[in-house]
Amino acid sequence: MTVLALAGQANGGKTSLFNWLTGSRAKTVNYPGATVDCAVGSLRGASFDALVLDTPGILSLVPRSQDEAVAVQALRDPSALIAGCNVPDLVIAVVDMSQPHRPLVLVHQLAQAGFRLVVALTMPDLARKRGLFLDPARLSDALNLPVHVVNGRTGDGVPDLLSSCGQILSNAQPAPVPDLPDASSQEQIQADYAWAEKVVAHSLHHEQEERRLSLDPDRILLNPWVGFLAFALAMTGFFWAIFAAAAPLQDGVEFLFGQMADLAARTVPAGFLADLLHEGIFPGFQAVLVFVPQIAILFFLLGVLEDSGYLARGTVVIDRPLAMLGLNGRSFVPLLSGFACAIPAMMAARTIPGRKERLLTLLVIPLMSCSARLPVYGLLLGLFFHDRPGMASLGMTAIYLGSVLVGSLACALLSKVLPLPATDAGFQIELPAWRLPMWRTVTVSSLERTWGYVQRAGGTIFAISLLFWLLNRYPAPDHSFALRAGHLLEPLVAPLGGDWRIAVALLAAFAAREVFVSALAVVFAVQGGAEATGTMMESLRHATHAATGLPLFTTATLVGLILYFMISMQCLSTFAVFRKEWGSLKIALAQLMGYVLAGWLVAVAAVQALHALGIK
Amino acid sequence: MSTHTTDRNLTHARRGEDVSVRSLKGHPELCARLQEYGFTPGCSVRLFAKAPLGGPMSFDLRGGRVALRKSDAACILIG
Repeated sequence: MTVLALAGQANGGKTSLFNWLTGSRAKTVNYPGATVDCAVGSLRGASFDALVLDTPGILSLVPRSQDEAVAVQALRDPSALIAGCNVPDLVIAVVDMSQPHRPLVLVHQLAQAGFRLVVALTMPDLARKRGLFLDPARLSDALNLPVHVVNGRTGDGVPDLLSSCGQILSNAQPAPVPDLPDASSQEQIQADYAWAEKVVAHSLHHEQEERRLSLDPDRILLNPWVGFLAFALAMTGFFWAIFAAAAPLQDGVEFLFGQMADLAARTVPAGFLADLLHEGIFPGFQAVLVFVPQIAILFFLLGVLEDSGYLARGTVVIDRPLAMLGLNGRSFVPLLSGFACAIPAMMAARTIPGRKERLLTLLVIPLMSCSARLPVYGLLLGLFFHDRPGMASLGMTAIYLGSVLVGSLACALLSKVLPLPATDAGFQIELPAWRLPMWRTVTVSSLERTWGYVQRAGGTIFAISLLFWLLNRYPAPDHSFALRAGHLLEPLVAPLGGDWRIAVALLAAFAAREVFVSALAVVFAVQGGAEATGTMMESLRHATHAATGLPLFTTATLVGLILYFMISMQCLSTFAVFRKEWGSLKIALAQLMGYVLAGWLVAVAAVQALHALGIK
Repeated sequence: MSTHTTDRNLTHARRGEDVSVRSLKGHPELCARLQEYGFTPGCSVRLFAKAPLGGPMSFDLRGGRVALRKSDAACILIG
């Protein structure tokens, strides 16, 4: 199979071009923030068949961070991504012509290494504004390579680029094996830039439009103090929108489930299946799916922040405060993604060049309040403030701020005890030009990511709900398997004021945090049996300890459970990804056990302290 | 190497002032990376903004904008 690889700098328009080449249906592997992994898609709309390989952005062929290493390795030998392909047949070098020198230096390095190249000139509109519009014919003449202007927003120029690729491929020998440099000498870089300056001077279009002075949002957003304020406002707005905008959609989800349950009650004959639906599947799913709107909005807003160019500015504003904690401005995007899901967040940490800073970021990501915790907090806060929804949303804000605080404390502590030496990789970042987000792309990709979440979580919830229902139901509800397991674990949750039902739900939640909610829903639906009254919330609120008849979900117990979920790493997928990203089973195990133990200790301490103060 | 004894570096640049990179000094790998970002001798650079509390500084060069930590900017000597 013919393979076309895309190579170029971050923010240069590679991914937009990739989407045009493959159709927007290409699999989304990269979460908002940065392209940190390669993507492969089938070429569409060309006269020949090929696979297209998108790579993370690189500054040169000598990688200095993990995402760059991934890109260089994929260009050198894509066989791990595309079986049987030892070298890309053609590399499309993406050159952002609004700032052409840096990408042209990379083109020069790619050509020197022996890659077969076609140049795609992107960002023509911006280049016109900056008086840097390049004439493709003159540039082609200077580089001795085919050059095409493509517009990533409209797709203009893509067909020409493709026909040029087809022409080269149709009468070409097998691609030569590239020879990549091991190190870059400063003299070489200077010589390359001197060459690039000449090429740009030679290729500037005769007719440049008059440079237009446009409004530069950086005047405000990078302004020392106003920028800080803007950052705080942006983050506040970000989290506020997740709750406020999602509320009506969440009501819709609840309504839908109500309708489905009604329909099932009318059509499914009483018996095993009806019980399974009524006690297992519906409560399990509704408890979690009601949070899907919030998750979709979270993904959408992250996409908007990325597409507009704001994430890079946030990185600059927050670098200094993060440096005080032993982190780096580059930790900002992984940590922010951590509020969606720790898994892509850990992958995004590849962009952090310093080893110590990267490890520290990987270690604290699980403390960020990920979307899987939303259903859990939603339930616990709902029990806490059942008659005051306004207070519940304030409580959620407090939990989010709390997770940042806990993360900061953990960071400050860990950076003191980690045995790795601080690497002085410094902090450099290119600030991409401000752009209006491409609304269609952002919407489609956030919906795709949400659907991915539903599929992933949905499968787990379905399986666990089913299994859990069976374990709770058999041999009989009053001496079921789950009850016996729960009684074994009860001593662990007793100091929290919990009983066996909370114990089994916590155990099940190691599959995924949100399973805590569906598991509780199932336990109570089965236990409630005939006298189950009203909603799940109602039955949880009135739940009592079997032995004493005292309420189960007291203030102290709810606080304890919230603290436990803030700290504990109730997610085996995160454990697996950490292990893969950092390559150490030992540290991965230490992280898992450390957070579970710390979460338990903090929760027990808080509950006992509240009890001592007379708060039950 | 230049014989200048003044050690004026990019952190001393004033906002909006056009300065020219003279040379780089510091860890070779860092110097190489900074030059890959375009801070090569002779390049014209303008300080755009400074983040508060001694945070990163943003520079305009070669049509684009790049932010550097102060310690990185201190490696870039200007003439």
